[in-house]
Amino acid sequence: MALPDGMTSCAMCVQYNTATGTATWIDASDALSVVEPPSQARMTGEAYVFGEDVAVTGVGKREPVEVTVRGVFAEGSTTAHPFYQIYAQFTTACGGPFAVRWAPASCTTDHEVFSTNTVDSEVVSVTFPAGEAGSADPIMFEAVIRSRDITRAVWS
Amino acid sequence: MADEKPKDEKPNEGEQIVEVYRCLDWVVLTTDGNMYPPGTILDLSHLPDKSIQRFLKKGLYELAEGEPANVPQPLIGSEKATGRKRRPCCK
Repeated sequence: MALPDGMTSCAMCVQYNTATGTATWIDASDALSVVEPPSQARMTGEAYVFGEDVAVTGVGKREPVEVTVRGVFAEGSTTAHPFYQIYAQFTTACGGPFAVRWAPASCTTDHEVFSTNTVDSEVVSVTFPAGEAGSADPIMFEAVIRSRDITRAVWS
Repeated sequence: MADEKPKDEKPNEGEQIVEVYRCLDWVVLTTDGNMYPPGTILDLSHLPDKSIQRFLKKGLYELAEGEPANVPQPLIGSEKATGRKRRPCCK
């Protein structure tokens, strides 16, 4: 078997939308710098019986998933920067929809994209931009998006 | 059926033959950026034939029949509304 081509996130693109369903996706690749690899788990359970030394195991349904995104903060209006979109959705009563999707190799034909659920994704945590006198690092912000699942799709 | 048209029937002048495809997995179209679930019928005329053949081979799409979900409904009375014909499969 041939050695697979190694991939980097050099050309990764990230997009978001703030409406339920298959709405308009807005590219945020110029503002976001990290999408932490999310993991989704299944509920598990176990029980023990006296007659055996090992557990009786059970596997349940998929648990919700949380995706953490981190970006470079820039001041602007609600339409100028994803931080303000995230903040607006976060402060909406009961949470406004905010779906995020990312294509590790790029948003072009043939490449794969992973997306939080477009019906049920909300911002559940925001880390506000802050600074440190002894640092020259750009000011960052962070948000956690909670969703029922992540869908894999192919650009075509 | 009596009113079924022969498969090799040529389109009338002005009619556009557009093959449409059913996606068998989630896809995102580069044209509108929307995500479409498995089973959606799509117009892939933006893709070169080579790409379509590759997607068919990979099992991402199959030939289908019906109205694609990614084509906006033409305005009533517009040229497109009367001049478009789809012949999705049966080569």
